[in-house]
Amino acid sequence: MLKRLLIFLSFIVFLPSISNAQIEQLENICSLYFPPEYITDGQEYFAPLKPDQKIEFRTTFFGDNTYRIVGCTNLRKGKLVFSVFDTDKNLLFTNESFDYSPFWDLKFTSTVTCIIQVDVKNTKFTPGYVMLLIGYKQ
Amino acid sequence: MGVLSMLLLIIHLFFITCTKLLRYCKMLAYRLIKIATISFALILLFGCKSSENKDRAPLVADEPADTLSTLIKFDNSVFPLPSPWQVSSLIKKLNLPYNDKFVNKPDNYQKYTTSFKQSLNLGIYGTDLSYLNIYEKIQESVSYLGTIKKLSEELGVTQAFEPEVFESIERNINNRDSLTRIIARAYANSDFYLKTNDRHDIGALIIAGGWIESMYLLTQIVQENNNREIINRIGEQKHPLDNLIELLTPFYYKSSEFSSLIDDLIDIAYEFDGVIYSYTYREPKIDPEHNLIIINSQSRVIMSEYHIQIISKKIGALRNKIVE
Repeated sequence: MLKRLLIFLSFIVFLPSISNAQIEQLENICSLYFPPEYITDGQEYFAPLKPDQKIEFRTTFFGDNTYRIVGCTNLRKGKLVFSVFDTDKNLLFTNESFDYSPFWDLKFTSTVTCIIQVDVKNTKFTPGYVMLLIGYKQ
Repeated sequence: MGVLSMLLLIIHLFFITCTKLLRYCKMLAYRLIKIATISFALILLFGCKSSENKDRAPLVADEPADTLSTLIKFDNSVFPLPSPWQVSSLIKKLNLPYNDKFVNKPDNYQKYTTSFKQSLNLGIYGTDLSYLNIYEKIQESVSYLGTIKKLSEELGVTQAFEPEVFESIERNINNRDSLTRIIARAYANSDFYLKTNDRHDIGALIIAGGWIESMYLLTQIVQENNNREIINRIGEQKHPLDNLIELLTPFYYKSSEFSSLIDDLIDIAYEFDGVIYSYTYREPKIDPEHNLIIINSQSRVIMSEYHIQIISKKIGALRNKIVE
């Protein structure tokens, strides 16, 4: 009984640090695709993802700017798909069409508010974290 | 005596409930107006959609964006762009003159004793540092760095602003581009640290402070220089402001300071509803060799003089309330 209790308590105590270590590891992987000429927007986006879940958010990209989107994951048995739609739901870009490339540059000639969706292709993937970095070219 | 105390307590509780109800109704009204506006816009859009849009070929097989999958948000985060660094880049591009009245004085940090004000002003000082950086104000930048260091210590985010970050900034103080990159990185580290340590409210306030100061800089500049690009950039903040309100809303009842800040931002958002924003989809051009896509869709902002002035006034009042 005591052994079980100790295992349970260790799980509760160490679980956040395991998650943090996973996220930090993910950040290191993502950063590889984020060269110095790109300036981060000052925020880091990560979330746990389970099968049948999709991540979606809205963002505004400003005209005459080139942005880099980097998407990475520690999910197993699944490929990370990130797609960019305008607010009329016209598909502007998806990395699915480009062999699931972990990064892509988007050059905006005019300001566009977009919806970014992050998804995993295989529905039988093991739950894990996904991270997205966005930056503009200096 | 006991009956009187009871009566006073009931009256007090009644007033608290009424205040909360009023705030709730205000937020509800704001959301309903937003839904109505979006619905109206959608009716207009589908009613007037051009044949060009109907004939376009999608990048992959026709797959609707909506699915039965659960949609979740990035830790309830949104991207309230432009980041402070992007505003500075625009100012730099337009060769606008420097004005020291636009920035918050570094010594003011001593007045900020609550974590609420410290967080907001940490965001404000980050934007100011970025503004100083484009004019190569080295001496002033050092002073602002000291202030940022002190505020981050007060807030307990020293792990995000590690000594190496400040050493790196000091080493690159003469290199404008490197400095922007290092400052942006430091703020991203702080955001990461706060999110992984369940201090989302502090992170949201730093972002809010950065956005408010960026808007303050733009609206102050426009008073002296009626530049079209700056006016457009102000008008384009309609959606980022909605995102910012959404980011802060979970903390509405955390304190009266939070609810007051959100109410002020909602009030500004009402003014933004008067800004006309039009959008036309155009086929993007792909350059697979360079992992690049050129988004050719076009947007247009129409902002009246009245809206420029009223938004500038309300942003100024909010910003001054934060720095005072």
